[in-house]
Amino acid sequence: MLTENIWCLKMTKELNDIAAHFNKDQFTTDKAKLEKYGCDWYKGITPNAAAIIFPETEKDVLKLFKLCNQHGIRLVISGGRTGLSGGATASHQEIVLSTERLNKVHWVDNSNQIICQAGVVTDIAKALASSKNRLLPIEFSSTSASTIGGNIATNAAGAKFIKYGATKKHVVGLKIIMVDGTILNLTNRNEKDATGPDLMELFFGSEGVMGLIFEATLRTYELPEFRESILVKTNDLSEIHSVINEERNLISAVEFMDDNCLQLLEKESDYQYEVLIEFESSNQDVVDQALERIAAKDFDVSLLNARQLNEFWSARENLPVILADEGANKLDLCVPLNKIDLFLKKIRDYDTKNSIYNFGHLGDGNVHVNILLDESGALAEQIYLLLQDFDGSPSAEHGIGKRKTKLLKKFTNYRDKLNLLKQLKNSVDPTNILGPKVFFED
Amino acid sequence: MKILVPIKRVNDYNVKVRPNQSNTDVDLSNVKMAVNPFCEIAIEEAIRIKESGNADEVVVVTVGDEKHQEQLRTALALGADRAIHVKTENPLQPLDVAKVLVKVFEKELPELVLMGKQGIDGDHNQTGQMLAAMLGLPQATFASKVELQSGIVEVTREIDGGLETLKAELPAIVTTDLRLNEPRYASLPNIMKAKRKPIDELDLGALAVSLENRVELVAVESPAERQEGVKVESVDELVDKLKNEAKVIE
Repeated sequence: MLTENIWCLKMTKELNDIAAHFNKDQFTTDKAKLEKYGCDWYKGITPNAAAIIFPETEKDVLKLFKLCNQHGIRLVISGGRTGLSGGATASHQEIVLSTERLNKVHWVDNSNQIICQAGVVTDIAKALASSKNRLLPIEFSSTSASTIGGNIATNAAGAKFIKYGATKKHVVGLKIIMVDGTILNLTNRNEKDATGPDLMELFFGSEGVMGLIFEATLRTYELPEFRESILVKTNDLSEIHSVINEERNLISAVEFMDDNCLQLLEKESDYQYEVLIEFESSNQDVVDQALERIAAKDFDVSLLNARQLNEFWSARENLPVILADEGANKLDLCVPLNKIDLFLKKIRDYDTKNSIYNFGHLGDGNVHVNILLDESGALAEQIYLLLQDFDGSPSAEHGIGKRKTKLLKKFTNYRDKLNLLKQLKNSVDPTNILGPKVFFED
Repeated sequence: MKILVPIKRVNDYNVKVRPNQSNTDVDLSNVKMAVNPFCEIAIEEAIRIKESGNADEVVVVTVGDEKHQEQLRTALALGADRAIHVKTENPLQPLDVAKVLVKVFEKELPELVLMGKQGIDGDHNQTGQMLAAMLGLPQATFASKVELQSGIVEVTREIDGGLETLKAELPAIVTTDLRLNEPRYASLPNIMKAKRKPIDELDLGALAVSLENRVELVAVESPAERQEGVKVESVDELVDKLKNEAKVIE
């Protein structure tokens, strides 16, 4: 406690010096701004930032890192602040480095790639690709605000994971600014590259603790020409597994919602689950054949038209927002596909108040469990710990941040990974300037 | 009672269409096609009328090339009883479509024609009205509610400032608006079954319709690209921008 008090005192003395090195509009301690930029979408940690800085160039970042090293000041890197794990929350008088003004983006014609600075909003990059008749397949609810840097730093996944993988799959090059002022250009432009470990991996999902992702080169994909979506209503999710396994090459998304979610969306259903399966191909016949195979199964299954499809996706995208407004405790977890059904049955047994709302990306076992009326967090804890019996992960796509550090420590199967991560972190940031209390409790 | 539902094949409304390279038309090569949404509402309404016991048969009809059978099969999957395909390789303009539908009407003698108010491609909003005029039958357009009584159809339409209710003697032509109903989901097994159902084929040439293209499509161009908007943080900033950047206020 004593050390933290000293830390705060020291901060107030050093802040003026840092402010003096930046333009007036690049540095703020305005209370409203501190609150806005001081935290991400997870509201369980009180924001407590010392100042916000908006670098506009590489030089600005280098200057800031140098000053922080000099004064021993800590930094939290912040993008679109749509994370749900408090990874971008300044809780202990850190300075927030907002990437908001690192927003340059350009298209490379001959390679169909996009070069983005960290703060480029995902939808802007996607729109650029689409204006060139190409696809940047990053799809989740918050792409209108999330940033490319944030997506890489959390290795964000989402609805299209089953076909296109997480964000790291699209990254062919990274420009990183390390806290000691080193600038790293890491690329992976070849299909095969056996020049040692792929060190870009150190930054995928690194949640801002290893260095600043300054710029990324992203690949884009051919637009799929034919897409059909079916809606399966079922009481038994294991029925869906056979479809996923048989048609995996054609499936681009599998989204499910349970009956509680449907009720919240004011939709009637006689079944426990509704599952949307999306097929994509450059060949209509291939999609049609898959549909024929599924029609032959004994499912309650419909083919959706354009309007029904838009309705489904807008409901699906609204769902997390409605639940957030209701004050839900949002759990993000992953369970091996063949165990999901049993896992969901088990947590339903725990749920005596009928307050659990499950939805997610069934194709990869990613369930978003939302709990209302769980003030103590006891039910959430119980569900997370149950994951150990199911070989599950306590974070499928939202990261660890400051929110799940205690929890992750309880998962003994992650112990070696955490130890190695700590060693790596110490070697690149020995004074723990970047993202203190993220991944680790100190 | 028999209901005739003329339907149109159009681009799927989630598809962003572009002009072709020579700017002579919209480029529809490799574009996903679907039943026009307004026509889908007409199909749904016809099936609901049949399900309520007020009709015995729902017949769908379309005019176009071989691929138009896909949309007829969608209608069969949704619950239509029979489908008629008037075959032609050349796309027809609304007046010609109406002339073809006159012939189909005379052959089928339905008590009610239910059709979409317009296609989402050409946005013509003409075929239903022209069909009614040529047949000398009553028309009720933009229906938001359709009720059948003996020998009469009562149609509610949304107009500026309220609702208007019309009564028309059968047979009549009714065109459907967006809020009439929400079309059901097409069950996948029914879609597959519909693939094997027979479709009545009529050759356009055999219908003895005099066709004439009265409208010439001159050019199709993309709208001018708009500059991206910006978000402002406060009213003061907005006023400042309106004054100094946009210069629209003093």
